[in-house]
Amino acid sequence: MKRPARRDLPFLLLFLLAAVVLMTLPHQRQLALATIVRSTALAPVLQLHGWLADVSTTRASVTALRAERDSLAAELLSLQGVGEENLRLRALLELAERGTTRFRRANLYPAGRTGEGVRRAFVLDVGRSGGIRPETPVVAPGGLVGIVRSVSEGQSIGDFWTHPDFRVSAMTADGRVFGIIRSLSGTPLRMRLDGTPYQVELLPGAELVTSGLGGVFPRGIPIGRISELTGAEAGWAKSYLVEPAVHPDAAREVMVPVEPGGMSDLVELWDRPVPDSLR
Amino acid sequence: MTGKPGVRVGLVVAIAVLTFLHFALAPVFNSWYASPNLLLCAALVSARQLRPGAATAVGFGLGLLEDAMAVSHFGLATLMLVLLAYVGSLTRDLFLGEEPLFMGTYLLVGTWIFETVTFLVLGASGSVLTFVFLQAPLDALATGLVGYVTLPLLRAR
Repeated sequence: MKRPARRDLPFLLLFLLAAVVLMTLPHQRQLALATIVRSTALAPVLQLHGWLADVSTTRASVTALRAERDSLAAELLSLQGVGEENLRLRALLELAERGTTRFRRANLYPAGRTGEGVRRAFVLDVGRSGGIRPETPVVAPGGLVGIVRSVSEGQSIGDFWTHPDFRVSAMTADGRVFGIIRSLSGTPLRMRLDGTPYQVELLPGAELVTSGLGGVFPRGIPIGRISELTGAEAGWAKSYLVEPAVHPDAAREVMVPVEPGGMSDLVELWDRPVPDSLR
Repeated sequence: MTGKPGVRVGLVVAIAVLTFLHFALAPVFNSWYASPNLLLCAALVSARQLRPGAATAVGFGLGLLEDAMAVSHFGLATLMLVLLAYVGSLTRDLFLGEEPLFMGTYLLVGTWIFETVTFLVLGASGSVLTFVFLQAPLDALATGLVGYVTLPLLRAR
């Protein structure tokens, strides 16, 4: 075998070094670089994927939408006037209008490699032109899905709550106990609630929602439910396993808040029984 | 790089087409039991036509595309494709010619190494033995078959 030419070895070392640098870049820089590549070299492929997904979704939903439209038309006839009456009564009771936060609907595509067990990142088919901004929560009807990290003109890249860097401040639905949620590796997919007060014990099934602390996630988005106690740290804090409200594989159509000014509280958007302590 | 302009054009076209098809057909391939890795096929086929330095550059570019698409574990595909493209180019000194049997085996081994190492590094769920000795060889076989079909197109100029 001939020895490789000397001028080729520096190329190998250069590109190996560059690859290692890519691997060790901070996560935000990696996402920014991925966004640039996706919005340039990979743009035609992604447009093709989006078009195919739209066609597939449209075909599947036409029949269901027709049936739904017929039902809604009948229901609408029976509810004429109720909306106005509701607004008038709310004004009389001085209640705020429900659901003032404006959302942008988006299709979510999990990103990852073949054989990768747990999806950590996703791509949304809306971007800056749709009002999406970095560090914005992504929610589904069930609750918290993840967070937008990087935004380009027509799409966004984000992290599921399963990403190792993901953290969110959580509280119980009655607002009494606070802690920090992080993801756990392995299957089944679980979260862990850290830093709860040692003297308070949370029962299995207790609902956790975002606390609104930290300024990224508005208050009141369902995160999951307490599963079991995992440990106590030196007698001053407790940790719990948490069953997530939304599984990454189940989230396909999501919502992204696009009005930061109106994101202070989303409690009213999710129907849940009002705790006795807040009655 | 090989000196003939016809070879260069054929190679560039083959890389571009295989790369586009790899990403465009990914949703289809993912639903198959054995899915060919056309990007790896492009990197390995081009490595047989290029000097090691140029092959690593192609591997780097293709790996960057794969990483941008997958987002998670950024840089892993780039590192793997740079190494495989370099080693693939070195095989030009060991094995002359492009006999179909050799090229099929070359693509099969290259794909098997890539998929196995990626699986182990990702720490993916599932049986390691099943993946390494069943899933990865099937994918490698599919990639070898694609290469077997691609090579005559590369020569037709």
